[in-house]
Amino acid sequence: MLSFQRAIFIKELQDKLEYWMLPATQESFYKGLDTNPLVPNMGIERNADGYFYLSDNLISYCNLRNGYVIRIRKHWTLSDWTCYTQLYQKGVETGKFRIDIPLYREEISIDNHVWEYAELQTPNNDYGTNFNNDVFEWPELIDGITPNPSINDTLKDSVVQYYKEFIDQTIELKTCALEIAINNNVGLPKNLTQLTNRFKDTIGYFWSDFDQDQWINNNSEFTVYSLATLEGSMRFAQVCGVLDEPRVTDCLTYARSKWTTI
Amino acid sequence: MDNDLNGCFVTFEIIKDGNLYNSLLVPISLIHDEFQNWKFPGSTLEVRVKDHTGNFRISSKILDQR
Repeated sequence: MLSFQRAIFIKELQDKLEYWMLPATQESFYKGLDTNPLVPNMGIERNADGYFYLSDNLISYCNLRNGYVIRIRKHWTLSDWTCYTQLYQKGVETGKFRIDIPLYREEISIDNHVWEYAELQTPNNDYGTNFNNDVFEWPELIDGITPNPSINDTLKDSVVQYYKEFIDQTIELKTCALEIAINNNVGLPKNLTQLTNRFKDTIGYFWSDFDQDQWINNNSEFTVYSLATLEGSMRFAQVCGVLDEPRVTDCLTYARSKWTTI
Repeated sequence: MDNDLNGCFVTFEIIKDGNLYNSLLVPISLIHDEFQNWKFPGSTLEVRVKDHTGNFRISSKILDQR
């Protein structure tokens, strides 16, 4: 990318941050309604080729046509980018996993705070699809709430396999990330192995978005969080009717057996 | 904005006391993030997710069954 183009991108993200911070913008998204106090508010703004993700600590633009991502984030350390890049290289060397390609970073000053600007690219120039797309492949809910009567044990077993395949795929990624974290004397990025951060393109699966995280979580915290979010996802599958209690228990036991031994 | 990327987005309808308060366009890949914004313990809002054809796919009420 030419420097003048980069300067335009950075300015655009800064403008979006300024726009997001306006009370009128927040009002347009939230209409004065209560939102979750435990997670940072966020908003999405679409344009012809993708969307802006707007929040207090992260402003990003994702191009849905080619998987190119630019972002600024407020909280970061230099080790984050170093470790992320090492993990990317490990994936290329071993061929065992793919993650977004780290292309460029620099530090920029906004209102006396140093933010990190970065550019990344999905590995096959394709934004890809994730778990949410797979949910839409399940038999449709009746009125958005009642499990479809066509759901049978064969489908439920395939969903179990889906989750176990996901768990298996996290092993190599987490093992390599942990080795890099230890070597750099840092922790792990919280959302490294989130199901919704696993995307699929025509080549296979790849991992996105955890470049936004700081490498600060110890292994135990990481495992507890990963198990909790995995269970949340499976409980959702359960109310959608594609998993039942024994199958959820089976998958959680499987995840615990794999994740607590890394 | 209508173009060939419409299928990548869903619409979140935010409903309070039976009234539609807002409609938000969200990429399918971020449905979970948007759900988190609105659905939390104590929330009385209903969130409805419609696909790009207007088909009603998920209500947040499904989570109240848990």
